[in-house]
Amino acid sequence: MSRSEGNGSDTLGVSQVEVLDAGQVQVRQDEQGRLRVVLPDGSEHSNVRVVPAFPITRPDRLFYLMEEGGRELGLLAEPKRLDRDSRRLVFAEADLAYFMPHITRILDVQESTGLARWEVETDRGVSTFDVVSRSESVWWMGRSRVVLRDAHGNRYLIEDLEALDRRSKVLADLYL
Amino acid sequence: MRRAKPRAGAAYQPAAAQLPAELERWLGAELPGELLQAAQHVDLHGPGHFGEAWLVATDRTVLALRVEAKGPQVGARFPLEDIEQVELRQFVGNGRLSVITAAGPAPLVRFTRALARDMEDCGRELARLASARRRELGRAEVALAGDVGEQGVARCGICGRVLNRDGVCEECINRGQLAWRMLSFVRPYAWQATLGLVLAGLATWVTLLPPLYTRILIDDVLIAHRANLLGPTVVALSVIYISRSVLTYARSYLLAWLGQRAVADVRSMTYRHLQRLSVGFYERRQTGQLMARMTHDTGHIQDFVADYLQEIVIQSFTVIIIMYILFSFQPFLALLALVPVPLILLTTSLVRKRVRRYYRSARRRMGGMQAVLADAIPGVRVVKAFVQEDRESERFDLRNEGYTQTSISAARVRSAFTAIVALLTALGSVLVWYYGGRMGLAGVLSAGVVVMFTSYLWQLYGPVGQISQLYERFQFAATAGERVFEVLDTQTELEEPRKQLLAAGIKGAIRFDQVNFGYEDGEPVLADVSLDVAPGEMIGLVGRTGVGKSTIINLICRFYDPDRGAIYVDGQDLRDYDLRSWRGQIGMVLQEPFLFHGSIAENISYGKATASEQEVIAAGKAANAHDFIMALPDGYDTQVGERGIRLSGGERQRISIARAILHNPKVLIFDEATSSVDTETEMLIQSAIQRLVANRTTFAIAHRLSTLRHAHRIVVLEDRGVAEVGTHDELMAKSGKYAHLVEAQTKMAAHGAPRGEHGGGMWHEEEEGVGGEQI
Repeated sequence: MSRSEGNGSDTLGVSQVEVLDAGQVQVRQDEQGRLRVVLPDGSEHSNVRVVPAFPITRPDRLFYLMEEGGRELGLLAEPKRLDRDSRRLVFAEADLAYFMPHITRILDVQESTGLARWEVETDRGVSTFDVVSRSESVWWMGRSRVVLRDAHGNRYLIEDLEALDRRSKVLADLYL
Repeated sequence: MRRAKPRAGAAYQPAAAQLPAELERWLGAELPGELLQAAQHVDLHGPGHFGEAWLVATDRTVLALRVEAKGPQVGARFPLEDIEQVELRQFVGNGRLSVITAAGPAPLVRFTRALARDMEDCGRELARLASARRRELGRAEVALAGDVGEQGVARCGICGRVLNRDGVCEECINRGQLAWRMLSFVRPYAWQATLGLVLAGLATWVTLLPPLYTRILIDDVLIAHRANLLGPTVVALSVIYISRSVLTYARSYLLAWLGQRAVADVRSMTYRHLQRLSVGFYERRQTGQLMARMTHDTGHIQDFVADYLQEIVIQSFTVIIIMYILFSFQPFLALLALVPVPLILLTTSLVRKRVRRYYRSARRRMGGMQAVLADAIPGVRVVKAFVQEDRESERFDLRNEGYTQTSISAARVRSAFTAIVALLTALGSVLVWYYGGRMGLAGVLSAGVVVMFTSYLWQLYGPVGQISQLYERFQFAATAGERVFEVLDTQTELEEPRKQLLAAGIKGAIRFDQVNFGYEDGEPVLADVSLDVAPGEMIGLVGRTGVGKSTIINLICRFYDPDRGAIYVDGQDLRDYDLRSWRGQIGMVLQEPFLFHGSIAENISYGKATASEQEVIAAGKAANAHDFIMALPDGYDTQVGERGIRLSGGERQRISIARAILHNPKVLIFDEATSSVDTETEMLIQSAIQRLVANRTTFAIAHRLSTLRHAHRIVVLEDRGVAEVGTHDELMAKSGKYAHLVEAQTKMAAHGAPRGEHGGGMWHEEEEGVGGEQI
């Protein structure tokens, strides 16, 4: 029986999660446009990926930096605290890793058998997409936060349903 | 058991104590000086023929009597003091009550299963009487043995009639009281309800006005040529039509709103109550049944509140007002108008019965069709492997055809009904036209009145038909109400603790002291179980299925309380702790981990909603779940559960372990946590479990003994009690039951295990689901 894991305190420490000190992490780009990261311990890593751990609920926090092969370099709990260049690179990379336009207005929803065609305005422009199965493609993340997944796997976020205009709300109400 | 209040004087009397007078007289002559103590009606004669028989006991003797044409025949007779045991045996379709005397066992009576419960009571009574008699003579007491404690068919506590599927006695529902209780849901909206009914009355009144004006239009405007009246009359009609629309809108919206609001309250209240009911309540009922109560039955209550009441008002208003108008204009014509009414009532009730029969049958056949689908679709591999596609199609066609036929028949009856009612209505108007026409020609009646009469006729017969259906609809609502109230009336969990101790900060020492427990009376599962578990100790529970492993868990969780004895936590009786606070200290990892609909993060933080994201990640890491979670496109925000992505058994298991880790309980329960995963996953889970069990009092149930190798002590259960306790090594050295079990499993693994290469043991199966996202 090994009981050594308990290390004294029985509440599990957040210390188990390796949080990187954002102030001491430097992120740069190499010639191929890939990320190079210098960690607080001075080690350098190339071809680093940024993986958001909570891409929907915390889109701007809690990014994991991962080396080639999937090894975790550590958690960037507050990427906003990176220096300006690093921050720009990390957020661009996170946006690439998880692209989810925010729906700002619903123009129309047409429903036919087993398919709903949404026309929306998002923070990234106007888009039209098809939602196949309502039960599997509409994720409620709280009372008024909804993620829609279209037939191809693209994600769209309605940040706050209540904040939309009246027509959008009515349309959303009917089809969600 | 039903909870309905018995009506005065109608309490259900079992067949006992109703011995016919002539038998009692005969008995008095046969056994002079003895006092009749008990009599039970029996429905089989000795060799197994249906017939009347009685089991009778006096203070001295027990007698089995057959009632035959030539008089009572004694089947068996024993002095009570000779009885050493009373034995009840239950067989298929019948049972037998016997006594055992010094001469050996002797049968008393046979009976059908309908009497199974009564005969058990009877046997107990006989044992009591025999004991009393033997006590006088200084002999040992007598008990009832054999197949006792079996669940009989549920019967009404008032009239003894077999209860329907839902446990409701259709006869004994107190409908008046139920209606009153259903109305109580409207009380918060009393003024809206009153307003709605007043509006309904007004709307009905307004709806009935136009024919009066039609008469004025014909008689006073057209025939009497009074052009100056045309304008005002038409304006009046317009006002009537407009106000009718407004009133109807206001009425129907208000009452629909009321019905929805009231029934939403009922649903919330019922669900809240359901959540607080004991696990035992759920074990006695099917999920589907309870779901139907939440959705279907509450819908009937809504119908009662929203539609039923207003329809009573509307229909009766309509009939009364029309009759009043008609009689005040021309009583003879009004009587003629009533001629079709009894015919309509008769047709409606006849047709209703037939249609209902067809609909019921159609519903059943639809069920049969669904059953075929439910069989064949999940079993498609078997169907294909045995090349039985055609047979399945035929099976389905047969059901499909049956359903269609019934539905068509129902449609035929309904169509005929509509046509007949239309004809009867026409009969009324033809009569009115003929006699009204003659009166008109004779100058007794104006043309306008005749037209007015016929227009009222069309408005009269509809409500007449509907009024006759009101009672039936009320019955539906009452039965549904009864089912909902049954839930609401069920007592919530175990009794309140005596001291309300808070469990936070306990160390986790658990002691079973002479614990006795059984789910049914007379069927103990645990007898005098004592066990002392130190804080932080891990106990492995071993034994064959049904030996009481899960029962121990149920008692620790206080899903049930011991019948006798007690469980102590840190020296305090478990019943002294506040229930919710105690359960807050328990973490569970089950064989079939249950994930709720929601994100992985929400599932991990289920027991601790305030957890930060970093704590969630830490728990995921500690449970060896982090890596696969991060490999999912949505990370910790991935939707899981019924409608989310499919995770493999091992992945779900690790999420549930992460949940337990974050919950940080003092007491942990593992139920076969690793029984259906591959070896690599098992290792991941095992190492996660190691992290979790540290410093927590743990109870682990496992069939695969290898998973218990880290347990501090292993408890082998057998025959309602603890057979062996000790460490793995101690028990192996003892070469008792545990050693035997281990040996058997090792042998199985070595020889015939289908997946021996995994090297685990006999309950080793490949995971069913495939990891990752399946869209």
